[in-house]
Amino acid sequence: MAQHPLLALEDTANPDPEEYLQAALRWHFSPETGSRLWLDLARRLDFDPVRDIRGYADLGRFPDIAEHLRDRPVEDLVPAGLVDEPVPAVFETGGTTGSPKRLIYTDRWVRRALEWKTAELRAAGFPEGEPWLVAMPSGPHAYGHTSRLQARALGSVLHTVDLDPRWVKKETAAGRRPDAYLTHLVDQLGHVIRTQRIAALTTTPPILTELLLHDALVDRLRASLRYLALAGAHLDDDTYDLIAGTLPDTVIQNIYGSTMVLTTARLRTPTAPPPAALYDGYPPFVVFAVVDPDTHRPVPYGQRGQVRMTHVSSGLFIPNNLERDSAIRAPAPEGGVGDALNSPQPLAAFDGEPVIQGVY
Amino acid sequence: MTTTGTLVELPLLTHRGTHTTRAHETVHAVDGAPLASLSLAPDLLLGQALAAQRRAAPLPAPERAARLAEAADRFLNDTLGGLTFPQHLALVRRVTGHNAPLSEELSRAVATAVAEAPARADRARPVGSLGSWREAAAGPGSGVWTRRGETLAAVLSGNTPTIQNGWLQALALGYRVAVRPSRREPFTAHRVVAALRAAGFRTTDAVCLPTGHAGAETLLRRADLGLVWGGDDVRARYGAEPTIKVGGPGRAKTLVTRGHHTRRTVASIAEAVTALSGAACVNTSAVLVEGDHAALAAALAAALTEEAAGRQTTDRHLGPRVNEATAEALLSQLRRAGAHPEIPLDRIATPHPEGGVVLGPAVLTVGDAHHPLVGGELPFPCVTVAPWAPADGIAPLRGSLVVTAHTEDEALIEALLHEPTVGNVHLGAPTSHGGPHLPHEGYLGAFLMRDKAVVALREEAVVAAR
Repeated sequence: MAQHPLLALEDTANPDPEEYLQAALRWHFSPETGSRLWLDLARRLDFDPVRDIRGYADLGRFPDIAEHLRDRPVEDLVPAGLVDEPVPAVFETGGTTGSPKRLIYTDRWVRRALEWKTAELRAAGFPEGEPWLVAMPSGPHAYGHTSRLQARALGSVLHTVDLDPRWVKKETAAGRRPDAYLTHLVDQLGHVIRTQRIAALTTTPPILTELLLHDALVDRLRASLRYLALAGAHLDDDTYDLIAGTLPDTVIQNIYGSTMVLTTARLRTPTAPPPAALYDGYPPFVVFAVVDPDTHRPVPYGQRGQVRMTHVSSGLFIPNNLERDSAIRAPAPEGGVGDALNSPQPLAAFDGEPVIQGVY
Repeated sequence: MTTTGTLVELPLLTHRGTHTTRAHETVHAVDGAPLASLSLAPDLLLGQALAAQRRAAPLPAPERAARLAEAADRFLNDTLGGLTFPQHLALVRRVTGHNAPLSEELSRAVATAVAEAPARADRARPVGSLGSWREAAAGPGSGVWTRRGETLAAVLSGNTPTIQNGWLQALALGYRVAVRPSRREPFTAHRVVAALRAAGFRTTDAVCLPTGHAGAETLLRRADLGLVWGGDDVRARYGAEPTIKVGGPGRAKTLVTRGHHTRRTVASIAEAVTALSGAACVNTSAVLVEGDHAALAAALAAALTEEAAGRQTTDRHLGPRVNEATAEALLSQLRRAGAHPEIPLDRIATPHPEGGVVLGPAVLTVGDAHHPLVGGELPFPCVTVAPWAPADGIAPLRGSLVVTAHTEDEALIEALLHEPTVGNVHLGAPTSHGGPHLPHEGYLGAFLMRDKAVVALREEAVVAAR
């Protein structure tokens, strides 16, 4: 059997976005290649996805499938066209807005994202070959898994501290502060920082905030740390200023992404300070839009709106995912698709449920 | 503080100096005019400030006292952050809504509190405790008054400038203090800390860090001890914490027993209702009357109406000037309260020529000492009058910061003194009567300090042991 056009296009250096989207729609909405979930949902659509969807701007016509990702068996999510490929990995969202959603990570996708990310880390001045400490969620969450692959690709020994964002959210929702848990995490980070010469660090803003109150650890980091990535929770600009003042010789990146699109955004200028940073998608695979929360129409450039993310690949089709974040809409790079984001931050509330931020 | 355009710039006063944040909030006058741009501290800065404060040793006690005296003078006479004292007064008055003479009196009282902080704090020292271990070691041994911690977070409310008085005592006792001012009235805390620094206190001795609710909680959790003011919600959140002292709510009440319906009593209650704009925790919010409570309510309404007459549109207005939305919310609450207004409710709100609405006085009567209004309080001169009988006992007086009793009944006075939920007992003096020599919600020193025995080994003791 000849390779499906979508799989061929996926491996092309710069596929044409419209051609790619059409191939993907045919893949996800054909009984031979599509997933049970999308084939079921297709029957309920009031349009024909293959015929009526002409571009990325039309993807807003699809329903938000978040609820199905919480409840459907994973087998229903896997496209039939991948039946002969290695079993995909399943990772889950943090569960910020309810019970977790499950996402399919195929080997193809993981390979592709790893290439992008290692290239970008190099461009940011990541200290290749030197020790990297990552305190991000592993277990059901993708971050711990992908950073292990990245460390291997960059030749860096990986030190990890695990964290359970769901426990923190539960505590916060119950009106308790996760102070004891934060202390527990920083104790573990401290042990690594005291005994290893950590050159790169990835963690959340609340954990780093706690860490930076320990002078001895700050002194060690100031001497060795060249790259710092903050992810998983909002980094406000004033906190960034303080961190930059504390670690003047460190490249600091704010990482913004979503498990729902299986990756974090591409920083247009890897070394730009976070308040000015622009976050791009990876068209044609991952595309962002900034829309009015009520009308779902794009807001004008320079204005704040709700972030909508789209993921289109052979493993997954997430056409219309409204994030729990807002951002300022910026133009995509020349020849790009969709929008770039500036200054993403949590929406005050989403879907009626208050958004709880914890250490994650 | 510098002015940009017409807005006063209020930077953070941090452990390292001053710092203007990208996040900021506009402080509005009660007439709606924007007055100041307030920097807001992120959590990391709050943590860094307290950590630096914990590392810093306090100045020696005599130096603290001398610098406090100097700071009081600078508070009144220096240009601080670009503002003279009269300019500062004008800003405070525009956000608190106090009338002009009261606003100035309260701000001057802050300066007095700065100067007198060491003496006021020392009033709480037990007779069995000395101020210095050297003194104890030189004698036969003694208790020594010792700080319970090193850092104090003060999360302030904005109803009166004198809310500063508590943390100033802590500073006098050697605490390093992180002040989170009210976001409605941040000017006084800012000026006090600026005056302290001008007088030679180091940046680590006192910081002024406006921040949101989450930040306020961060400060309270990270500091050794905390002071916080608020209503039932704040008490529910922090009341059980041994390291946090909660100020408020007040719900001060006055009891009038038979034979005390005199003009003097009515005048005393009128003062208790209207002092401090009627917006303080010590203002009488309920009067319980043995006998004809309606007659006393009428007399009180007449006295208050007379007092307010001709003032409400001047700068000597009785009751606070508030913004229109607040006034409307409070009025509609009263309309729904199910009480008889002795002064028609449409007469208790007077639009003021400088903007905003002057509220009060309001007198309401209810038929039952356990009516919900008796247990409430509103931030303007507003009092509920209810009947009381000896059979009611002190039950309707529970949960009061101050109870004034107009009575000769000594058993009743004893019962009030021994009731745990009654803070202070005044015998005829208005609930609003306070003074530097009186505890407010207890002496602050009782919360800030502990007593440790210090005994030196003495020659004669060694001889005796042999």
